Order: sequence, then C-alpha cells, then structure tokens
Amino acid sequence: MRLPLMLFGFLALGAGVQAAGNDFAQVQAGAGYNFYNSSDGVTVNSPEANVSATLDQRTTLTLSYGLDAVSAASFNYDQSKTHEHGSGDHQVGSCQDCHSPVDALSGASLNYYEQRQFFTLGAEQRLGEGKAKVSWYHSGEHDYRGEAVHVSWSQDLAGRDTNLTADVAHTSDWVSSSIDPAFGAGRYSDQASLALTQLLDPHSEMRALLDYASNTGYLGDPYAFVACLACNQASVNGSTDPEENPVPNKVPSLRDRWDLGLGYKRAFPGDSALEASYRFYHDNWGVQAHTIALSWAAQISTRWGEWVLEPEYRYYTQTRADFFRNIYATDQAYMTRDLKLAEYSSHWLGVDFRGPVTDLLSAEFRYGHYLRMDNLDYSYYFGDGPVNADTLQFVLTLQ
Amino acid sequence: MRRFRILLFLGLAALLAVGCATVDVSEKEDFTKPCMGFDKDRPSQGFVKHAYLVQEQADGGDGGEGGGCGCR
Repeated sequence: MRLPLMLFGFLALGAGVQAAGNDFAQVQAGAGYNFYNSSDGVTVNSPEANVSATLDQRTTLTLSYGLDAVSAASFNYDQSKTHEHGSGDHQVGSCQDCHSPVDALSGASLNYYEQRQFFTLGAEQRLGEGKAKVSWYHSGEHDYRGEAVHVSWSQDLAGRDTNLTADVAHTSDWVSSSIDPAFGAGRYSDQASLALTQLLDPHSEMRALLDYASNTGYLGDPYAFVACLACNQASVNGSTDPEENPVPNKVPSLRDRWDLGLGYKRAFPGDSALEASYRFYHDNWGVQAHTIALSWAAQISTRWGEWVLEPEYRYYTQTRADFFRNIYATDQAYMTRDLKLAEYSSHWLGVDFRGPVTDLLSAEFRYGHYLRMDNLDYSYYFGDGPVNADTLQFVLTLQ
Repeated sequence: MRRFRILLFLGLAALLAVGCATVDVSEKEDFTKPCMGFDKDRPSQGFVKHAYLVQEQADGGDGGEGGGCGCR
C-alpha cells in the first residue's frame, strides 16, 4: 500500500511544482508499474517513479526510484519434479535430502522473497549544441550492492542532422551470500561507447554504436553449482551421484566485451514508421551473439489524441561460453552450467500502445512474451525445458 | 574474431558514408511525429532491457549500461 501512495506522491509532486507556475522550473514526473513472470517460477513486481526539473532552459536535474519485489515459488523443494538418479527414484518434496539449499542455475531454490531498491540522481547541462550528462546510480538488496557513475557528452552537428554521443561509465558492486555469511567479493566494470545518429533523408535516420566494457573481479554466482563426476568433493548422504555432490561454479575474473549496434528508422505515408536494428556481441569467454529487432509503429486517432500502436519482434541467438557444460567429468579451471552461457536462441513478441491522455498527461501500455529455444538436456536442471516469460507494463508521464 | 573485425569495419564504413548527408529544416516534419524516435528512448524500455539481461549473456550496444544488478 505504501508503494502506490509513493508513486502517486511523485506525480503529485510534479503536478504541485507545475501548478506553482513560474519561470523557475519546468517539471516532468513519471510513475510506472512493471510485472514479470517466467515459467521457472520467478515473479517480479516493479513499481518505479521519476521526477525531473529543467532550470533556466539549460540545466535539468533528475531523480528516479524503483523497486523490484522478487518471489520464486515453483521448482522449489516442495514442488519440483520427481527424477531418477543415483540412489533411486526421488519423490516430490525430498530434494533437500540431496541438493544444496540454493542452486540458482539449476533452478533449485527454496521459496524466497526479496526486494531490490534502486535510485538514480542525474544532472544535464546544455552548452550550445552540446549536452553534458552525469548520473549516479545505486542498487541495493540483501546480498548485492551496486554503484555506477555515468558521464556522457552529446553533440549536435551539421544543422542537427548528426548527433555524436560519447559515454563512459564505471560500476563497483559488492556480492555477498545468504548461505555463506563469510563470503563477500567485489565486481567492477569500466565501459565506454560512441554512438552516432544521422538523418539520411527527410524520412529516415540511422544510428550506429560501438560499445566496449571490461568486467573484473568476482564474476560468478555464489548460489550456482555444477555437477561433476570425479571432482574431489565430500559426499552427501553417502551417494556417488554427481547431482548430489554439487561443486561451486568457477568463471574467469575478467570479461571483455564488444558490441556493435546498428539501427534504422523510416517514416511511411499514413503516419507510420518501421524500425529495424541489429547488434553483434562478442566477449572473451567465447560467447558471440546476434540480435535482430523489428517494429512497426502506426499512429491511431483516438478521442484523446494521436496514439501509437507498435507491434514488435526480436530474435536473439548466441554461442556457448568455451567452458560451459551440463555436467563435468573432472575438475576444470572454469566450470559453469549457467543457462545464460549455453548455446540457445530466443524470440520476443510484444505490443506497445502509447499516447496522450490530456495535454499534460501521457500513458504507455506494453506487453511482451519471451520464448527461449535450446537443445540442452534438462535432466540436469529442475526446470522441464527452456524458460518463457511474460512482461506487462503501465507508465504514466506528467509534463 | 575475424568476422567481428569485418563487421566492425563495415559499421565504421557505414558511418563515414552517411556522415555528409543533409536535410533541410523544412523537410524534417516526419521526425516530429509520435511514431518516430528509437525504441530505446521509450519510458518502458528500461524494464524490458532488464528482462533480457536476466535471460541473456549479451548486454550493451544500446547506449550505455547500468550497474549493480544482482541478476548479472
């Protein structure tokens, strides 16, 4: 109950300052509600709100706040599937006899509920045809804390036909574990990108971006384990079954990644537009990924004004990390069965509907369905197959 | 790695090729329409990007990235 009140508080704050009506500030406020539910039993309710004030036409200050309320309720010890391994056919509810208390990557976890809170403070200053931005981001949950600083410079060129934006960021995170109070490790990232947006003709524009990041420190997951046939691991319940003798995952402490992104948007007669984009991703863990996205935006006249209906489709495919395995025969320098590091592809289908409600208020509704496809042997995981997920969003903006 | 370098080269070549195009101010009406503007600029895009990050290894490539998320 406190959250809806808080979100409406942000909107009321924006409306209040605006109603004060002076030349000091132009205020914009927004509030949104996001919902995520996946077939592996994870549900996220995520309200968020933001307010920004533009001072003297050149300086803008922003504040945003969000909350992820995460719960996982299936594939847990009480409801997970029966399966046969090692010492016989195991029954529903008996998982805790063998498996570690939490195994994030195989889907074995106790019912849990946790919250992540995050907020951003930002400032933006216009200088001629240029714009400088700086922001600080904080995220906190019971076993993870993160900070990030972003600095960017955006410059309009050639009569605003061209925009060039350079962005650098540094993140510093701290990872801990609720199953091992003694565990704590740092994780760091330095990132730089260069983006160019260019009008091609009176009806189309393109965007290109190069992005590099270096991630260092503890890049693993304290809740992730792998199955290993001949690792020197203490036996649980006297069993020789590798699933019952999990070994903590091990990943390199350095990950360098490169992205190349290209986007194209074209207006068509009848107030509609096509957007197409492509991204190539490469990292030094051996993962290469291709992403293609297409959307078609059509303006629709409603009693409230011009709304936009935009169906969207996205295809993603990646190779596996060099060291990914479902199960390991012997101890290796790096071992993981993180499903994010497997070879797979996915489809995303969505629809977005947005537009004005009044002269000052606009709204956006968005739904998306995510469907993963792979050829993994899911007998090593608690899930019955590749995950699929749904997202539902509602955003209000007051300006 | 070789394919990546080729793609990188093609991307940079594309940037250079379009850099000199000009559009007169009076011809820019299409760019003011609500249906124009890139996907990443929508208010809802942050959460959708977060949903991708939970499932996928690839990130970035869309103009900066946030830090401090336990899903990574």
